[in-house]
Amino acid sequence: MVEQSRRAAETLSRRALLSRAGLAGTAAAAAGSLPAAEPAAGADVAVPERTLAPGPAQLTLRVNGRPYPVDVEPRTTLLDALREELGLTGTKKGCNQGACGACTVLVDGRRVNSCLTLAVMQRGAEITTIEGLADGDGLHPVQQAFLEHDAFQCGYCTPGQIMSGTAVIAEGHAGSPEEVREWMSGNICRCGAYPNIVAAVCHAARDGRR
Amino acid sequence: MRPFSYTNVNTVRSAVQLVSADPDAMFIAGGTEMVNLVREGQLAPDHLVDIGALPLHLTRAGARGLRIGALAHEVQEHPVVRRGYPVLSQALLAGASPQVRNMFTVGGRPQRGLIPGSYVASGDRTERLPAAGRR
Ligand SMILES: Cc1cc2nc3c(=O)[nH]c(=O)nc-3n(C[C@H](O)[C@H](O)[C@H](O)COP(=O)(O)OP(=O)(O)OC[C@H]3O[C@@H](n4cnc5c(N)ncnc54)[C@H](O)[C@@H]3O)c2cc1C
Ligand code: FES
Ligand code: FES
Repeated sequence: MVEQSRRAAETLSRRALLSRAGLAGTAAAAAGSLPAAEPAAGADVAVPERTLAPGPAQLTLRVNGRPYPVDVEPRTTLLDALREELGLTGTKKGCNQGACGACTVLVDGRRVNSCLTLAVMQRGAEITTIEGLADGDGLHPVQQAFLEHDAFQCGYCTPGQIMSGTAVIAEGHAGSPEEVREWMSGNICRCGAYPNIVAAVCHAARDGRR
Repeated sequence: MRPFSYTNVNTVRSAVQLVSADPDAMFIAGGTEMVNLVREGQLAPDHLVDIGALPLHLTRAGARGLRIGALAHEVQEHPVVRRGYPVLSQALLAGASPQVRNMFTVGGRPQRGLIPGSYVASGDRTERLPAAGRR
């Protein structure tokens, strides 16, 4: 379980390092972390240039470690593709304009708002949603900490909070409650469960350091 | 959202060609502004040209100041910026949310977003590629 956040951290640093060195293609493929057919978009390796007409087109998204063929239009957001096409409804739609964080997912280890990006832009990327955090029946440490700290009321913001919490820890931004508050500022909780959310993230961060 | 076609490009040349050739084509970089504006109907491109994979990510400091690639992410975290340009780093950190900052690019910012005062105060200049001037 701790392995998960460590993996996220490694993905982060390895990617940053590789793209700086301009080696993302060869090394990432060698590490087996990317599908051979469609290397990571946004890295230095190119997804082949392709034009898609306005209607539905078949493409592959890699979500939680497995490839999913999907039929999406260029205008389909990643959020809608996850929820409507893949049935992964753990990722929530709150504001649908980048302001609330309910739709937070990881793309190549970095947290983003899935309502602000198009599914077609994420071909070749490794997407992690709330459904991909647990290890079988074993909860991810951040999920476990949210349970222990009662870090939700209605639960609508929770998947986004948890995704962001894993990223805050992997980024090394969970050193104090103040720091966690600042770096979780992209996740709004209408129920105001903030004190418990901060406590849960700090707890998981401390456990991870042990 | 209004339908549009889409091309992902890997060279600056195809990016410029595609957008110059078609008055209804626009660039999309991080998408943080574009996706919202198209969804709200404030922009109505017929074609989006995804420039996210272009090799314009570098940030570096030289004798003539700081050069920031149009597609640079996380400029605020860059060691050179944190050390030599702390106000810029802080101004960028004060903007948006961590999630949005992970996606948005500096190039998309002067086009639509708010420009931190520090850009202006430091005598910021924007280099434009020939024929890439259209927003
Ligand atoms: C929730 C939220 C909070 C925000 N907060 C802030 C804030 O605090 N401060 C701030 O400054 N901004 C803020 N923004 C706006 C943000 O700056 C812009 O969204 C971002 O800079 C756009 O970058 P992008 O790569 O996502 O651009 P896109 O959305 O991809 O593109 C934006 C525009 O720029 C054009 N464009 C992009 N790249 C280039 C290029 N290289 N050459 C020519 N044209 C180009 C596109 O055609 C489009 O018209 C916020 C946005 C959101 C959604
Ligand atoms: S639904 Fe994406 S930020 Fe609110
Ligand atoms: S628990 Fe209800 S919105 Fe956060």
